[in-house]
Amino acid sequence: MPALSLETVKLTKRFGRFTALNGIDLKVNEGEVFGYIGPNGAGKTTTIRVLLGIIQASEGSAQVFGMDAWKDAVEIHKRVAYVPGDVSLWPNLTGGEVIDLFVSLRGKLDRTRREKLLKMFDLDPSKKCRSYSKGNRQKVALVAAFASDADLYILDEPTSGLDPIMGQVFQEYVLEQKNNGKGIFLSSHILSEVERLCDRVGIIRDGKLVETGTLSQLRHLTRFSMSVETENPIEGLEGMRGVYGISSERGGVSFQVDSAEIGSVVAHISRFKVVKLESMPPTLEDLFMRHYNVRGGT
Amino acid sequence: MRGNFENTGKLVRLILRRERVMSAVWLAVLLLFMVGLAPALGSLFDDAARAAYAETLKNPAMIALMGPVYGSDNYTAGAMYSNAMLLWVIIAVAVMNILLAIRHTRADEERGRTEIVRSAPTGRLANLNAAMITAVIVNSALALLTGLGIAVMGIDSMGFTDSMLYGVAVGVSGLFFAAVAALFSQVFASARTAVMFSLAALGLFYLMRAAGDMSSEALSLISPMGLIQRAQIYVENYWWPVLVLLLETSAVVAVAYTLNARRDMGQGFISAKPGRREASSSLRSAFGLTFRLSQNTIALCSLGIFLLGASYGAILGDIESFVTSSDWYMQIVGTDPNYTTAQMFVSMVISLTSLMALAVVLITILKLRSEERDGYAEHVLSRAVSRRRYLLGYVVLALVASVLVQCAIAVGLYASAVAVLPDPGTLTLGYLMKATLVYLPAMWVMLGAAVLLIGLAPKATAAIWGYYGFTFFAIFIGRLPNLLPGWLDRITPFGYVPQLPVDHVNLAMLAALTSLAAVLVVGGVVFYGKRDAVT
Ligand SMILES: Nc1ncnc2c1ncn2[C@@H]1O[C@H](COP(=O)(O)OP(=O)(O)O)[C@@H](O)[C@H]1O
Ligand SMILES: [Mg+2]
Repeated sequence: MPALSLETVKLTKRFGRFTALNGIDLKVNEGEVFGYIGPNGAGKTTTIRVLLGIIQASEGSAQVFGMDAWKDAVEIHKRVAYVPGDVSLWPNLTGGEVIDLFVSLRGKLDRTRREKLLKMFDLDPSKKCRSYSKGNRQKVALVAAFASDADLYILDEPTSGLDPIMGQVFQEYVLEQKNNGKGIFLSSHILSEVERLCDRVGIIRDGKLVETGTLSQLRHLTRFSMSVETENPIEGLEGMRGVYGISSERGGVSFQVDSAEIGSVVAHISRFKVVKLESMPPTLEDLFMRHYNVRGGT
Repeated sequence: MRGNFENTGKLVRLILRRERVMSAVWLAVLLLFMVGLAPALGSLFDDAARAAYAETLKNPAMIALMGPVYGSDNYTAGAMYSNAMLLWVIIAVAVMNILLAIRHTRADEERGRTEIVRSAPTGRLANLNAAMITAVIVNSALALLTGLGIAVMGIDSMGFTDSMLYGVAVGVSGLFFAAVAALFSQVFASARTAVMFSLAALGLFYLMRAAGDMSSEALSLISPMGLIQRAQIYVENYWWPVLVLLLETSAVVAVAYTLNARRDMGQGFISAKPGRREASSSLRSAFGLTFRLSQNTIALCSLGIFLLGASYGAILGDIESFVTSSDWYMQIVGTDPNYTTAQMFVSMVISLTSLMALAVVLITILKLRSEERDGYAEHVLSRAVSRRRYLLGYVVLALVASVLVQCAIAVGLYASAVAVLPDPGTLTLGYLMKATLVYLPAMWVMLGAAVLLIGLAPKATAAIWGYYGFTFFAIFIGRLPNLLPGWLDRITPFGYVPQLPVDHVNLAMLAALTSLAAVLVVGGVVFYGKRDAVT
């Protein structure tokens, strides 16, 4: 079994009467990219703040690299780089000053890496933070995080203010770090990003972890979308187990089918002389939506 | 050039609408101050007291601070009023005008509002022109209301035309600074820079006239503030300085218009200079950051405290006649047969300025709370910095600030004493240092209380200002005999500070206060280590 980089057991955090986290059990392996997804207010940032010892768990435990997140915060921080979700920066310092300060507060500064990142993210470090847009402040935090040599990167919605091109640059850099064996804990609600980068995901909703697993594990829990054209009209589809949302289109039908029932459905359809068959695996988006009941699910 | 001013009228109406509240509040406060204080200054002093007061103003330090004393052989209420008020009023009105002019020129341009306006059929210069016309309207209203307001008070030496001169002098000075600000907002591409340079010009003009009033009349005449003082309002009542300043204002406006017509929108003639690409080595630690964030505040406040000490010290030359001119002063300063009035006065000044200096110490430590609230502290605490070290960094800086401000008081008093007294006698630098530094343990107790609040009740840290206000009240009002119950100043650390030279330094007491401060700080640090960082 690989070593764990993060582990929480029954992690609960209350703010006064309000329960922001309710018994979260998380396990993240070393060198793994873990996607932590959930809508606004679900508790992603709160979880991360507990993991970083910025706030204290009300109940349960949180450990990073086997150390207690609250008591051993400083030791943990020496190995962790963090990009907060809402990056506010001192208006009268320049971006370059902030980057150097942030890196120095963890350890040594790697100048070549810093320059390379500045170029990659197309950031002018000589401007005062006052004049930076949200995206630029986020870039400052990203450059500071990636310019330091960490074993684990904790990123809280790091691309929410970046334009698509910069989002791409970010993804490439994360993949590079992943190949270097670094662990990444990525909170996000940009699903395509999570789908592309993450080995495993956890879905949090209203302070509860509702699902965790690899993407393929989670896909078994959901439905494929299919659209079929046949020479003879299809019959008997309505009565089949695991088939939902049938709609007729010109020359064919489209429907959704539970992953477990695909075999029997395909066998049934093939009797009507298939002309064209399209099948779409469930996206993370579908998974996500199912948990938030935005579209009529189970 | 025709068409350059197209639609100015509509823009003026728009600006006036947006100014409804802001300018009205400014005008109301200024009028309250100018008109309200006129009868007070008129009736508070009798002729003899005024004559005595005029004498205290006639030394280089006071002249540098307040300007030349006109009409001192017959120092009327009017003469005293314009001497005491005009300079400060001009500074306030200048600030109002600088902000007004830049709000409607460069700040709008920076926010992209001007672009919308300019894409409509408005002239290139319409916006600047409208801002200037608005300034004329606001300052005319101010001039008229001020003049009428003072005249209505019916004070002997302050008649109608002279009061109108006073009002117009204030209004034209304001307009001058609106023009200066409009000029700087053509030159610089950022509103902040334009405001800073305009305020710097204001400061420079003040210093120019300070230097000029002491040594060179020409220098004073170049400064608009010095120029306006030469109107000798309520003494000789000259109108020519006002007319000259009006001409100068027109010239500045003309330059601003020319620059505006020649530049691209959004651009300035001087572009913002890039900042540092890299952090200096002093910024690369948590304490370095703490220091960097507060260094300007501490330096400026220390300078202010120094000037405060120096300006109190400037009165020392004629301290006897000054203090004895009013019963109230006599009571506040206190009398003791064993000590001179100067010694008693210095003791009072140190007590008062130390209380003000305490504010600097509290501001320094409470900066940590605003860092938490603004989400900056999280950056530091999520890196390899322990809470204890983070908070202690602020404590250390506050301790340094406390020593600095106390020294600033002593040095300020000493610098003036040497300048105005033929023989400073017992007021040596060493003595003054001792008399100010004995306040440190009491200041540290207040600092400790603030640290404890930060650790224990972060949302209630503002309570320290309540305690501060109480301390100020108990100590300052407590100087008046038999007004407050005696135990009141016993519940603030400042009540335990020995007042030199009447009291002797009680080392045991100072040690006790210091230990209490240490206990409070340690308690605060321990609790800070136990609480959530984001609250
Ligand atoms: N310091 C706090 N005090 C009170 N409530 C808080 C605090 N921080 C977060 N919350 C609440 O906890 C919930 C989770 O917030 P957060 O973790 O920021 O969500 P996310 O990052 O997933 O958008 C929200 O409802 C938020 O209002
Ligand atoms: Mg969040």
